[in-house]
Order: sequence, then structure tokens, then C-alpha cells
Amino acid sequence: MNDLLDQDYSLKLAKKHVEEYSKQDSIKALHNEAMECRDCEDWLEIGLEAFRWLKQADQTIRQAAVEGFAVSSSAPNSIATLYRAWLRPCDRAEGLAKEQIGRGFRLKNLTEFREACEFVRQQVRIIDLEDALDEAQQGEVFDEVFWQRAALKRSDQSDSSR
Amino acid sequence: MELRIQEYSADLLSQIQSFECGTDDWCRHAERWIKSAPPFRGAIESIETHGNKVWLYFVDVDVFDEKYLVGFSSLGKVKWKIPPPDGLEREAAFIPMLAVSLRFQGKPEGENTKHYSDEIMEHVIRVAREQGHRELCLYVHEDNARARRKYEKHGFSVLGSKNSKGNLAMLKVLDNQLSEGGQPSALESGPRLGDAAAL
Ligand SMILES: CC(C)(COP(=O)(O)OP(=O)(O)OC[C@H]1O[C@@H](n2cnc3c(N)ncnc32)[C@H](O)[C@@H]1OP(=O)(O)O)[C@@H](O)C(=O)NCCC(=O)NCCS
Repeated sequence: MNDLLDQDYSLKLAKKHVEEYSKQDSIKALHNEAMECRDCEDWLEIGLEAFRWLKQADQTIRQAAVEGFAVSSSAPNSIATLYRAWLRPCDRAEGLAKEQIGRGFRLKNLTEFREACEFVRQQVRIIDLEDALDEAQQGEVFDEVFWQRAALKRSDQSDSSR
Repeated sequence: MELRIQEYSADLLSQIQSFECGTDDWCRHAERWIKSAPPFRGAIESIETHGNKVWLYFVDVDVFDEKYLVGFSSLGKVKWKIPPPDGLEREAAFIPMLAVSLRFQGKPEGENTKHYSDEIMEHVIRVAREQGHRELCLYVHEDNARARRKYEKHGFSVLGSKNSKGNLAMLKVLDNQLSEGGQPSALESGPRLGDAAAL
């Protein structure tokens, strides 16, 4: 239950749910004023549903890689793109949730939603660190200035050891 | 207790899946790096694409016939042209990633006791020297004070400003087997680790 077809299917499902969550973002942007507490909860739920599918797809594909199954080389990129896409509507969702709280309502899925946001933000920060490591490995972190300073340090050090 | 070194490869992936070294972003990054199989960007991919070496360090407890994974380190190289893009090609050793399991951080305890992390650092530095490199560099997140402290203790200094991701480039000059200040470092001239066969 971990072959390329299954992985592809889990990614497609995640993508569909993330798109649905994002689509609601534009609708909510238009109807901000008329937002009811129930609408807000529903939207957070769509976000949470997308989050669960996305996390599941990520885990399915990572597990497949560890177990030695073939994994499409584009899968990590797709997951990274979906995590970033999932985060996009979150600020508006959080803003609307705060408005509801300000009106005295309690949103039953807000805590879970905030935890999901924190989880995805960390995933994106880790992906950024992975990008940075790639850049470093390709010599981009260690630039010309770095090597000039290295040369200076080298000569300082050989002077002091004489 | 002596550390035993084992060179890392894809068939050890399942043994490392429970490795944990903390909750900060750089800890999660390190965990993901060592656990990742291709095509994810991680240790195995770095071995296969960049020719990096990755080592696991264990302590063996004979009484219980058990082994514990203490941590891992890695070594590769970076190339740079001075002046870019067509200048002289320079090459330096590079530590892509290094981490110690939460359980073994700051251990063994005791005054004047070398921590496992120091032994791991010494091992990587020694291999970089043996490979004939004159410089060893790495990058570290600016907020990762613990790692920065460790690297400074082993003679690294910050030479590069942070890039967009908040990382600092650090360097140690490996000339003449001398550490900072021109004296051979006590840390680096200590006894070799338990089993250097994997080198
Ligand atoms: C970085 C790491 C390898 C260091 O190993 P360690 O065994 O934990 O290191 P130590 O306990 O010897 O601590 C190193 C130094 O930091 C100090 N220190 C500990 N916690 C600290 C903190 N929160 N802030 C600042 N310094 C701290 C220690 O006092 C020690 O300094 P000293 O030698 O002057 O006493 C280990 O913590 C680790 O694996 N961290 C997670 C992964 C990581 O960050 N890897 C590096 C990626 S570049």
C-alpha cells in the first residue's frame, strides 16, 4: 500500500483539499462582514481537513522512502509547495476567528487549528533550512567575502605560530 | 564509555528512525536530515549526490548487550572560485550536519570530562585533516547558541554574515595541525575513538 500510485493518489487528495481551503479564502474575503460563527468554524474545519490529508500524504511518502519503495523525485517539492499553500489563508482565518471571539463566541476547533498552523509553519521553516543547506553545499553560503576573510585568518594564524 | 563509529548507509535507515535531538527548528532539521531517504534531501541523498561521508556513533553496553545511538556527524566539501565565476577553484571541507541525541547531550557529566559531542567534533576535524584539507567550514543558525558555543570551543569562528535564512558561516583553519593560538589542541590530540575502522 505504498507504491507510486498510492503516493500519487495521496498527494492528489491533499492537493484537492488544500485548493478547497484556499478557494474558501477568496470567498471569505468577499463576504467578510456577514461571517457567522458557524461559517468560521466550518472554514477552520476545511483547513483542518486539508491539513490532515497533507500530513498523511507527507508521512505516506516518507515512510515509502524509508521502506525502500520508489518515490517520485518531484514528491518532496509537491509537499513543500502544498505546505506553503496551506499556510496562505491562515492569517485571514486567524483574523476572522479573533473577530468571532471578540463578539463573545467560542470556536470549538480553534485550538486544533492553531496547533496545525504552528506545525505547518515549522515544516516550512525546516524546508527553508533544507534549502539553505543545499545552497551551502553548492558553495553559495561560503561566498567570495568569506574566502577572503578565510585567507586573512590563515595568514594571521601562520604569523602567530611562527 | 568509548564511542564506536559506523559509517552510515541506506540499510541503516530503519535503525535511526527514533533519533531525537530537540524541538527547535534546527533540531527537527537535523532529525529529518538523518532519517531521510532519497529523493528527500537528507543524509542518504547527500552521500549519493555530493559524496559526503556520514557517521553514526554508538555506545555499547555489554552488560545488557545493548547499543545506544549517541549521535551522528558528516563531512563533505564545498568548492568556490576566486574570483567568481572563472577564478581559481578552492576547496574546503564542510560539515553538512551534526547532532547528538537528547539523551546524550551534555554527557558524560563531570568536571574535566569530555562530552560525547566533543569526541564527535574531534573525529570530524581529524578526518578533514587526514583528507588534506586546509579549511573546515560549516554553517549554523544564529540562534543556535549551544552549537555555536561548541564550534567556537573547537576553534571555529564566524566569518560570514547570516544569509537570508539566518545562518552564519563558520570556519576553522586546519594548517600545520595547529589549533587557534598556534598550540595543538588538547581536544584534538586526545585518544582516538573506539573503532576507527570505518574511516
Ligand atoms: C549542538 C550539539 C551537538 C552540542 O552537543 P552537546 O553535548 O549538547 O553540547 P554541550 O552540552 O557540551 O554544550 C556546548 C556548550 O553550550 C553551552 N550551552 C548549553 N546549553 C546552552 C544554551 N541553551 N545556550 C547557550 N549555550 C548553551 C554549554 O554550557 C557548553 O558550553 P561550555 O563548553 O562552555 O560549558 C547538540 O546540542 C545537538 O545535537 N543539538 C541539536 C542539533 C544541532 O543543533 N546541531 C547543529 C546543527 S549546525
